[in-house]
This record gives sequence, structure tokens and C-alpha cells, in this order.
Amino acid sequence: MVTTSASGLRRRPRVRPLRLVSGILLVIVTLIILLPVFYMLVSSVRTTADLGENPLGFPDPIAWGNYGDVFASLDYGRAIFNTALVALSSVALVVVTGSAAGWAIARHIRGWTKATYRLFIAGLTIPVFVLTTPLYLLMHTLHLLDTYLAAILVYASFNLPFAILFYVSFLRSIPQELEDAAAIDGCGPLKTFWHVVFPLLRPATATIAIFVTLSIWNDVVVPLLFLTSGGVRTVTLSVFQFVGTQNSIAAAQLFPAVVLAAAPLIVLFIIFQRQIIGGITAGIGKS
Amino acid sequence: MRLTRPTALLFIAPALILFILFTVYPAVSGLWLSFTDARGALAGDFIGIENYVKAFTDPKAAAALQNTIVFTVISVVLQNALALALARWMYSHTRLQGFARVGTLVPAMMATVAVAYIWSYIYSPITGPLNTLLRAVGLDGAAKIWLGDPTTALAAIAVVNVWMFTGYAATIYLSGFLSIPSTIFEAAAIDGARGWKLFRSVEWPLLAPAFTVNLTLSTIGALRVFDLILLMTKGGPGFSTESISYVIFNESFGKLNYGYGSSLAVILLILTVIVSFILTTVLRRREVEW
Amino acid sequence: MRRIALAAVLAAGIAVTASGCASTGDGGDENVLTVVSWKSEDTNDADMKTINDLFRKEHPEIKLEYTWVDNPDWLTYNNPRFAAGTAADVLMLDRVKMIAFASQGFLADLSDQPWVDRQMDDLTPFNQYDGKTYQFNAENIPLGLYANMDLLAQAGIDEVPQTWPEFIDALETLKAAGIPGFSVPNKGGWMGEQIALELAATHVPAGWVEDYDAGDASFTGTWDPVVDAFKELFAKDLVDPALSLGLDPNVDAMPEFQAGKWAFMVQGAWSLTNILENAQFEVTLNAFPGGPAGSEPKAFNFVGSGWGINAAAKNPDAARTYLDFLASPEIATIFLEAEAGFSTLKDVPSPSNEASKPIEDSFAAGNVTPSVAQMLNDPDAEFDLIKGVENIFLNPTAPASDTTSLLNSLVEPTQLK
Repeated sequence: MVTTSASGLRRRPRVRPLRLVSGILLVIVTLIILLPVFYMLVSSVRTTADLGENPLGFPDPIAWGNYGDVFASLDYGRAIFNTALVALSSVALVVVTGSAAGWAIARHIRGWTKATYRLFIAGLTIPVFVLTTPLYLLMHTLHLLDTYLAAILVYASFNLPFAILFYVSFLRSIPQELEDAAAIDGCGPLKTFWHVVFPLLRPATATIAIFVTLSIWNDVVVPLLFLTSGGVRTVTLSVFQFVGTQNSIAAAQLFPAVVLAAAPLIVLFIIFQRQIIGGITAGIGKS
Repeated sequence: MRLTRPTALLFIAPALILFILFTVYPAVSGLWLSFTDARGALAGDFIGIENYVKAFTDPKAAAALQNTIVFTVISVVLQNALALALARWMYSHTRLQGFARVGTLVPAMMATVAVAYIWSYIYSPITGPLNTLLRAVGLDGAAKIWLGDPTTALAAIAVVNVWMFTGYAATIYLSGFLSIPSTIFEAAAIDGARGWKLFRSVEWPLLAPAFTVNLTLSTIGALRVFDLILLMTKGGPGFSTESISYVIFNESFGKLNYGYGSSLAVILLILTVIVSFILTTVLRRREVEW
Repeated sequence: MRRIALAAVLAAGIAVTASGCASTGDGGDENVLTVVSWKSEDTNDADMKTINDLFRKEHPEIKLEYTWVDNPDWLTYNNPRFAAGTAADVLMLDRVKMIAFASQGFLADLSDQPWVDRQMDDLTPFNQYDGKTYQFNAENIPLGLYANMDLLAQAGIDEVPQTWPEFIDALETLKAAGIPGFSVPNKGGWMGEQIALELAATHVPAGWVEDYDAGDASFTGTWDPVVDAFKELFAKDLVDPALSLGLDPNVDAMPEFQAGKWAFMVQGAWSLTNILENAQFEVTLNAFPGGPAGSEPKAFNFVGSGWGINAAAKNPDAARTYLDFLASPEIATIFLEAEAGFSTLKDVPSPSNEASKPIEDSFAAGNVTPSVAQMLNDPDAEFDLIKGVENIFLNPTAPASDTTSLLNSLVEPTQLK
């Protein structure tokens, strides 16, 4: 039997029982992959003694109190604020500068714009540790160590290659007519960019914003070097310093801390899953 | 809208200045530092290739290079093999696709600190759930001291890396599968291609773009591994899990040996550039158009 | 979209403004005193919140700005600030950090301060560099052997072992009774180093450190008994070296000891309060039984946090006032009680606790001495010892010379000027 739709073709009626088993197995495998996540959630409300007694059990009783202590020790509210501030500002900086540059590179095709493009793209392969020491010295010279601005500038710069790659390939896939029409209407380049191009770039902007946020939330290196004192710490650093360098930390503190570190990102993922998957597969094919 | 040269420059300038100041300049200045004996905040003197000589004779640097390569090979092979199988599986179950894809992506969306600490606990030899589970099903012999044994520690960390990013890679492969035009399947069906043969002769070649992206991403990511090691073993036991990035961090910021640390960073950069160049040229060649 | 973009730009604006507030060190005309410490005021480590509030009450004219920075980030954070002249007025220090800063001329000479003569004499290497005093040592925390007296009684042992043969006997007895004996969680290598330092307190003679740094001595021979003690524990199957490497001192071992599962564990006195809170059994903190029959148990002190002053302090007078305040008997006692540490001042008695009575007696008898790892001049000595001792766990049957020669190659003999 030959059908015209791909999904129709994939349905092979003769092997139904096997397909059922295979489907159930796929669900089970997915759940197994998620097992450590469930384990983290369940363990976060167990007492240290309870957990030591039976590492694989369920909470008895449910120790919600675990969270209260950890919340305070992590200075969680402050850390969330710091992370959000750094992430939002970096995203704003990347999006504004990246889209402008991307537009010029995609629409003004000359030798020098191509060279600039290649310079940006080369940045994709540079490991962060090649840059850390000189950046550290530079931030020290600029008196920016331990300020939000240091982290924002570094993150923005590190993420520009990815943003420009993304904006340029996005712009190449859309026709230039709208922009030309705006020009006929008498808009200058700045107005055209702001009223026509920037709104057109919205899907690319959303993807970039999400990915930059994800990478900042995950990062240990930049906060470790540029946001070291108590007031400006991000969530990741706060959890690292709480768990990694304390004299004694019990399981009842470890798991809630870990949940608090992971939760904001997972929530973000659940809300924006379509955009995130779209972003991951951009340039490959269909999602 | 025809952009004139000054306008184009105006639009590119902010990004370019940001990039030159905080990426290009540090990269060049890192290269310079690597030829000096800079320590801490004190500027160093030019000492030629002394740091590089040290790097190539330092057994710790050699061990770190070897660890980084072993980690990369384990991660890349395992992650891509599993992701490909998972993607093929998801592809054949249209209705479960959404659930499986989102579910397997969750690990990649967790903060690395969280992942590292959860798995440290999972690997713990006595109370850890992994060994508890193995003993419960009678596999006492398979229970290991995962992170404390120099023969398993590096692989155990690599497995965590694979756990984190297999769903991510599978998402990319799946979209590769989904973009294969149905006409190709029809033609293959007429030729009688099925199962392994279908995969080998039809799907695999057409997955080339997804393969290129995945291989490049996973290799570059693994070559610069740092956070998982810092968080899970701090390079131990012995020096068995020290990666190049970890040694750079330790030399530069633990011991303030900026010069020597920078020379290791330059070596890492060269390694990354060579590997990604090989990957892109070799892999792009086998990508086919349809 | 426009609204989002606007919000983003706004956020960037806030960031730029906020970054101005986050930088510390610019005192201006006010009487501001800046302090950087790894004991956080927010979590009231070492009761620093209480202490600082008392200071603020007593000196309303000084505006105290107290910043917390994590201990491992100390050099990364402070060194460039010293070089740029923006470091804080008062900084928390230990010996390694004092040497790192003092050797670059960053610290103020405090030799004329009133508390100098009150510091205990054996702390001199910890507060002096090149013959000048650069820090006030605020605490002296012993690490010792915690014993679960109930478990010992169960095995018919009614006294904590005082010598190595007694310790081995006790472990054999416990093993025969099916009771887990000596918990040695060595993931990360820290625990192995602490036990080695306990053994070194017995086996490594005074003066060895100076000889080593002068190039006149080595680990070979002197440290053989330390290595052999580990090997004996492993050979007699009293400690499993491979398992030890996978156990975390805090996440694995601490809850287990508190749950009453192990008879012995080495830990710092800083854990005492926490252990006493949770343990449902009688617990004691003792000096380590590392010596031959007839000897007295010994232990080592971790000479922890101290305080020094920036040579280029913007408010040097207030800085000295602050150190004076911290060294006053009343405040020193608050600090020591919170840390369960021993006194560093001749006129301040150490806080006492029934559970730690045995190690207090050893201290009074002069059997608790500063850590060898801290006295070595190589700034990486602590890290090198960790890696060296870890080698015994990785190769438990290798001859002691394997480990001692590894230590010789790792720890660099370093002469201070």
C-alpha cells in the first residue's frame, strides 16, 4: 500500500502488536531518562535520616521545611533577581546590537561586510577559557569587577556570534520587498529597521533570547570570575558556593538547593517548548 | 531599502565594538600573555616559548589532554548513537513524538549545577540510588565506586554529559528524519527497501546535515568540558578527571599563573579549531542535496 | 514586541545604574570602613552579624561596610583590587593568603598593635612574615577523632583508644562485633589529608617543616610512619581504600555518623554543635591516637580565619579600631564559641564543652599543634598533600617510598625572605 503522506506510510498495519510494545517501551525509556529529575523532586522533601535509611523510598513524612532553610541560605530571592537582571540585560544588548549588525551584513553585501561576518563566526569556536584571564585583567582595568555590567558585557559579546549567524541566515530567507516599500514611503534606515525589519525578525529574536537566557542560567564560569561577592551572585554560583564549599551540607539541604537551581529553567522550557525546539532544529529541517 | 556604506557601518558598529573589546582583544591579549611569565595582577616579562615547552613536558598537562580526548570520544560516540536510535524510534511513533521529545529534552534544560549534584548523589557508593538499585536486582558485582575509582570516574562524568544532551541531539536528528521527503520513501518502498537496509541506503545519507550539526556541537562542547568536572570531582581521584579547561582554570585563577594558564588555553584553542575544521570539511562533503 | 524591547532596554538601563551601587571601596568623605570576609553576615557565620552589630553600636561614628566573598575565590577577588588600590580596609586572612599579599607589600605592618603580645606564641608563623606582624589570628580550630561512645560500649570498649595499637585493637573488636569502625570518606582527598595531618602531629618532629623548606629534609623516612599507618588500616581490612575514594565527607559520611552508624570519624570541631544537635548517642571529640604504646594522643589545629589591614587602607584608624574590637576578650569569646575553636589569645580562655573535654585537655597539655600543611611555605602545599595522600588510597600496597617521593616532587621547598 502506497499513500502520499509520509505519516500514512509510516503506519505499517501488519506489525501492530510489535508497534504497541515498541510504543510502550518508548514511553518507558523517556520516563527512565526523567528518573533523576523525579528523584531530585521526591528527595527534596525527605529528611536526611529518612533518605539515609532508604535512598529509593518516598518521603515519610513530607519535609517541606527543607526548603525554608535553604531558601534563606542561598539568599534565593536576591540571586534570582541578579540572574534575571543579568540575563535580561544581556539579551537586550545581544538582540539590539546583533539584529542591527545582522541586517547590515545580510543586506549590504560587500567584501568588508563578508569579512566582518567571518570574524563574528570565528568567535563560535573560541573556548571561553581562552578569554577569561585577559577579560579578567581588562575588567579590572575598567573597574568593573564584581558589577553586573561586567557579566552583561561578557555575555553579550560571547553570544553575539551565535545571534549574528542566526539573524543573517534568517534575513537571507526572507525577501527584501517590505524594506524596499518602506524606503519608498520615505522611511530612513533607522526607521525602516525599527518599524519593519526588527518586527520581522521576531521569531529569530525569540529563539536567541531563549538560548542566551538558557546559557546564562547554566553558566558557572562568568559568575565565578566576575560576580564573586555576595550581593551580585547568580543562582548557579549561589548553589555552587552553598553546596560545594560548605563544611557540612546534608542531603536535606542538597536536594532543595538543586531543585531551586533547576526549577526556573524547567518552567521556562515548559512555557516556551515550541520556540525552544524550533530554535534547536533551526537550519536542519522540520520540527 | 539600499543601505549605503556609512549606514551599514553604523548598524554594524555597536556589535563590532562589543565583540572586538570583549572577545577579539582578549583572544589576542591571551596569545600575548602566553609568552610571558605574568602572575596575578603583576604584569609579566616576555619569556618566549617557555610556557609552551613546560606545557608539552608537564605530565599533568599531558594527562589533562588525554582525559579531554577520552571524555570527548566517549561523549560524542555514545550521545550520537543513542540520540540517533531515539530519534528513529520517535519518528516511527507519530503520536508519542511530542511527549518523548519534550521528556528527553528536560535534562538539557536543567542548570548544570543541579545536574552535577544530583548525579554525584546518584553515584555515591553506599547510599547512592544507582548502587542500591544494582544490589536490589542482584547485580552486586556491577556496583562500583563510580566517582572514586580512577578507572570509572571520567566515564561516569561523560555519562552525565550524555544524559544531559542526548535528548537535545535526538531533537536535531528527529527534525532530520521529518524533513526527508515522502517521495523518497515511496521510491524506496517500491525498491523493497526496509528496516536496516532502508536506514543505511536512504535515511542515513539524508540525515547528513543533522549529523554534521550534532557531531560539531557535541565535539566542541566536550572538548571544553569544565563545569561538570569542577562540580563532581574537582579533577580527582588523583589527576584522573582533570580536563584541559579545568587545568587552565586551576593554573590561572587558583595559582594565579596567568602566563602558563594562557599557553594551555591557546593549545586548547588550536585543538578546537583543528577538530572543527576537520569535522566541517569531512562531513560537509558527504552531505547530499535533494 | 515593541513593549518587550522597551522593557529590555529599560532593564539594561537599570543594570548600568545598579552596577554602580554594587562596587565597594569608594569611601568618599564619610567615615566608612570596608571589610571583606569569608564569614557571611547574612547567614551569621561565626556569629559575625552579632559581632558587627555590637561594633556598630559601640562605634556609631564608623560606617561599617561588610562584604562576603567565598574563601576559594580569595586571591582571584582581592589580588587585582590590591594592585589597583581598591581593596578593602580590613581583610580576612590565613597564613597562605597573608604571605601572598604581604610579599607583594599589600598589607599594613601591625607589629605595634596592642593585641600582638597577647597572641599565643606558637602562632607566630601564622601572623608574621619577614619578622613583622600582619594579622590577628582569630581562631585555632582543632580537628580530632569523634567517637560514638554508645557503639563502643556495645562492642565492650569503654574508653576511647589513646595509642595506635589500641586504635587498631578497637577497630578489630568493632569489626568482629559487626559494627562499622572508622569512617574515612576521602572523595576529593580532603579527609585523607586530615588523617595524615593527625598522624603527622605524632610522627613529624617539630622543626621538620623549616628543614624541608630550607631543602635540608624530605618526606622520605620522616613521613613513612604516616603512610604505613594508612597501609596497615587497608591491609587489615579495617578501611576499604577504594570505597573511601567514593564517599563524600559531608553528603555521605556526616549523616551516617550522626545517625549512629559509625564508631569513629575525623572532623573539625566546627561540626561539634551540629553533631551534638542531631546525635541520639554520647559523642566525644578526642586527640588522635597515632603513637606507639604508652604515648599520648595528639592532634592538629587548623589555624583558621584571621584579620589583616590593607597597607593602603582608606580608613586606617577605623581599621585598627575594628581589629582591636575583634581582639577584645568579650568579642573573641563570642567568635570562638560560634566556631567551637580554641583561643588564640593568652588572656582569653577557650570555650569549653563536655563533649570536647578530651581534646581540650590534650590542648592544655600541649599536644595539639598547628597544621603542618599550613606551615609549609609552598602556597599549594595543602593541595599537594591531598594529591600525595590520595596516592596511598589509589595504590594501597605500593611501598611507602612511592608516596613520599611523590610528595617530595609535589611540595616545593620554598624559602621566604
